Amino acid sequence: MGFNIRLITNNSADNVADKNFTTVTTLEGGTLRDDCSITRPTIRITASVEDIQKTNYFYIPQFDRYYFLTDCVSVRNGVWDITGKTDVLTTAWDKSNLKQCTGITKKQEKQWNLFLNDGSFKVYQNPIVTTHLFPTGFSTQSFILAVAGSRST
Amino acid sequence: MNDLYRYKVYYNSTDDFANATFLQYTYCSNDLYPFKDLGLGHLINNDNTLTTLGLEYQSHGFFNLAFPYLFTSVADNSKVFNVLSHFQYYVACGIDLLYVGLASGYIYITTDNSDKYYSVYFYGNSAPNYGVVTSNFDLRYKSSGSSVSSWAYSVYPLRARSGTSIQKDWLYMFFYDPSGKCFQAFIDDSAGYDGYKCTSSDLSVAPGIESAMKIIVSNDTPYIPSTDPYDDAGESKPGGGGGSFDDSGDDIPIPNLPALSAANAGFITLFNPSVSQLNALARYMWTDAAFDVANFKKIFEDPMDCILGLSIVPISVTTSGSADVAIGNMLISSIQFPVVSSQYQEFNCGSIPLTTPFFGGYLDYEPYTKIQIVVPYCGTFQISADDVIGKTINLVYHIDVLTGSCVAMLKCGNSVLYQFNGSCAVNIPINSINYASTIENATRIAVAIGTTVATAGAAAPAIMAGGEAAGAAQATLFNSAMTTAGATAEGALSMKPSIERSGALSSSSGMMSVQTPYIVITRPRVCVPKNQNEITGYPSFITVTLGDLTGQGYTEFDSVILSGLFLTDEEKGELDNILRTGVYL
Repeated sequence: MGFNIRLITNNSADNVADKNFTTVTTLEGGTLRDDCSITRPTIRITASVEDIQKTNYFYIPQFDRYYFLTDCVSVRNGVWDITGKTDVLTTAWDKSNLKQCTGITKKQEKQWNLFLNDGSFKVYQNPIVTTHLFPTGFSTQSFILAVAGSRST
Repeated sequence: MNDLYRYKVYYNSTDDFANATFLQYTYCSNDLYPFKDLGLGHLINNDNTLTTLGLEYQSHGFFNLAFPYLFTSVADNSKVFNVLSHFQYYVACGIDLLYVGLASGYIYITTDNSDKYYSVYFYGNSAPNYGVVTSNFDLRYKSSGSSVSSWAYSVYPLRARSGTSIQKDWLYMFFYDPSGKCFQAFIDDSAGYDGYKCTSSDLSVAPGIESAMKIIVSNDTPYIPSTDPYDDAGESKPGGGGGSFDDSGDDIPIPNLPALSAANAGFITLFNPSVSQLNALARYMWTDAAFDVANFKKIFEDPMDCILGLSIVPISVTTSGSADVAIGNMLISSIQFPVVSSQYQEFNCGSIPLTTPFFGGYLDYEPYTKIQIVVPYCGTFQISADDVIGKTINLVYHIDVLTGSCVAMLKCGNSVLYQFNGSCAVNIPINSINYASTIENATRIAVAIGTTVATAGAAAPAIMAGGEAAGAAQATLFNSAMTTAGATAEGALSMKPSIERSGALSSSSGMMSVQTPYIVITRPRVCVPKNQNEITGYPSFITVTLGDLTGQGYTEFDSVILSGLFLTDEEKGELDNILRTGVYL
């Protein structure tokens, strides 16, 4: 069975769903090695050393999956066995239904609520101590003379 | 009871004992059985009460347990045990007996002569002349003869098994196999029929009863059932919810001053003299010839008896005109003093707005932010940041100028949440008795302050130790000091001691202290790495569609419903983990 394989340079971190990548080359006629899985395929391809050197990611349209390149073995001159592992995040994001899935966030870069106490913040040992006066204090004194007898005007 | 044997009772409705449901333990007292191997006597019910089983003493020396009754009364499982009625003599076919840790034992399933009920006997190996069942899952019955070596084995896996032994007259043994074959082992040593007779017949099987029960007889460590101390609390039930979430309440305003006072009663008059007026009065009473002491003494022993008190209060009291001073019944027409309008006076210290939060987050509240309030003449008090943050606080005193008592009320938002009492009048001695009393009071206050200082001093080493630790850490690496001191805000603050800033400073001490109330706010100094929100995100707990977070940067998920994806199960598991760990969508 022949496979089309797009060799890719992935410029993004692994945990980025919408990855920024550059296609190195698209190959046709890759051969699936025996007993390999769809999630961790090993495929024999013919490619130049320069293309292999730039490749850290590949895409197989027949499997509808993106793969991280995990290993690349030279079989003979210009023939390589490349092994990959499914990039489940980008595959699900770009090729499957992940965008329609529903979830509950735990942390978010922009939609946060700082009244939730999840222990995210560290504090220094020296606290901030401030004092605040009430506007009016006791500024005068008065004598009070209490005498027996009714008021006489 | 002692030396209890424990029986595990299982049931299921299919022929699958491996997945049988554990029903309960049944306990039997060892000492009820003469062979000391097994005895049946008590049952632990589902509610942990003990039920004495229907034991009958047989002439053979065994206790007889009526199983149908037992199971009907114990296992409230109608679909299974309702079939264990008296006249269904394949009743025992649904019982599987397994000995664990016991070398031997038998289960005998018998009827009485009228076939009205069935009984099960457990026999122990200490009884001579009894065969030993070593294979727990085979039917063994004797087809003929009396030799114990001539066992015959069932071709079917049976759900009940038994050893056989020679008993007399009253033994029937019924065994049942899943194919619907019922074996009756009839034991009779009566004349002409000495030995065993085994027959079989086809019976229709009531669906679901063929493997109704399994009994495991174990010699596990004797077990005394415990008594749950919360039995009386009742069984837990689901519940909750349905609250109104109505967070409205009633405002608690500053109260009005008392309407009645000592001044209204007519026996006492409160004056608010100036210094010069007081001097004039003193001169009049002690030096002026116009003061008729002889006439005064007709009523009073001492002119000073009529002066109930002279004190200084730290406010300008409201007055209502002036009046001649009358000392007892002696009108001193030459001297007029302003008359205090009411015994109770109000003094408003104003407000401090705390409506704008410092952090705008949970660090503004307890236990991270701590607030103390210093209330002159009352003392220093801890107030909860939860009560005041986001509100304007207002402090109002109500002062009794006659006695000097005062109450300071802290209004947080629209309600008074704190009230502090104290004494704000400094009594001025006007005779020897007053002087002695005043000195005594002053001494008592001094002792109280000294005690407070001593208490604060005891806490001081902790503060010092903390300071030294911080200093030492600072000398090496400040970051490590931060880590050591406590990784999180909670950790750091939990180590902070609570400090008493002052004791109750009232009366004369209070007048010499700070005269303006104030609050002391202790806030954590938060440590935020640059772009923390982009790298780790900030706390969030909202339900979202993942596509809506496109371009919203870093997100960690508490949970995600992964549906409609073509990924393998393993891949979905990995994706779930990645989403929980944090992704950029």
